[in-house]
Amino acid sequence: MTLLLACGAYTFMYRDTVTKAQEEALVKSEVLAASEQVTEAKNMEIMYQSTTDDRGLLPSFFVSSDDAVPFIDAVEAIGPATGSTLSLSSLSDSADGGSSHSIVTAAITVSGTWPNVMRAIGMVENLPYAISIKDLYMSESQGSPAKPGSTIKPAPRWTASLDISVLSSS
Amino acid sequence: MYHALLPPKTVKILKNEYHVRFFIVFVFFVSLAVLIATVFLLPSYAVSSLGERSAVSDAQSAKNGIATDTASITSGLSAAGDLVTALSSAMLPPLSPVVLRIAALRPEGITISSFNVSSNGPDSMAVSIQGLADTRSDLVTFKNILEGDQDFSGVTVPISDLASAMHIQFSMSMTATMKKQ
Repeated sequence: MTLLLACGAYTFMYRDTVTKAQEEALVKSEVLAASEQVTEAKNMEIMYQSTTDDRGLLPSFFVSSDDAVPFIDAVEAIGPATGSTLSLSSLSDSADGGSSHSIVTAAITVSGTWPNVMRAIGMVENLPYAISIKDLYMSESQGSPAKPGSTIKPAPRWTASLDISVLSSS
Repeated sequence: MYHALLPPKTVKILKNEYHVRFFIVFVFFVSLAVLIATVFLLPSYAVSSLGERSAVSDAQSAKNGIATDTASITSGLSAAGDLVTALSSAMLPPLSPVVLRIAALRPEGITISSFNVSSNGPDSMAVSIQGLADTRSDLVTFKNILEGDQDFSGVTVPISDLASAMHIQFSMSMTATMKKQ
């Protein structure tokens, strides 16, 4: 009886010890993998925190559909800044099929001398918004007639028509 | 020489008793050995039990740590990713460099009166220009210059525009593949 009890106790403890040791090894490997993931997550968080400012700038590239006035003002300010005549028309808002954002479209007409018109187009393209020009048509128009008696030929004038689109946030 | 002084029946009984005593002593020592082994196994058993509990606890806390740490990052990056995707898919290459490039490549004897540039996609633009060429040679030279430029392809001039030798009102179409800036 004593022998049976001793053998039973020993067998139970031996098997349980082996099982626990195996489980401990398995769990420790999981802990090791988890701690590596925690380290990666911490590194990711550091990177995430370091890009907070840049990510904060992203919404500023979108025109607010509730407050499009700053965008319109920025476009219209290009005319005086470049010495050209600029007008904005056909402003409309439509859904963007490819994303959850909407798109503001507009037509811009710029007229002036070649350098001024090109400078104005460049400034429109480089506005701090997600702006794209879909179509650009430029044509040379008749310049103002030369003053009587003047031998200087006036610089030719150019007129540019731009169809623009800019992403907007609702 | 072996002499059995005891009667055979008594000898048989004594042998049986001897075997029983031997078995009892054997079982006693085996039991003692197993008991000693069990006692020596106790520390290992205790250490394994404690180690397993500790490891399970560590694993659980590590998993909770991962879930807590990554949730805010994932949501923040997802929001930023949506904005970046919208920006990258909606942005088209600027068109003014195409106009400036054509104007820069224009040779003597060519006057351009209009440009029409339309974006065909993320890296392609359809371009058509109109103008006045002093001579047919100037027009052919301009066409060859554009064909030789890496930013333009498919430069086409209607054959009717080559009919006149001088003062040619021409139109020209091409595809521009200037990269995003």
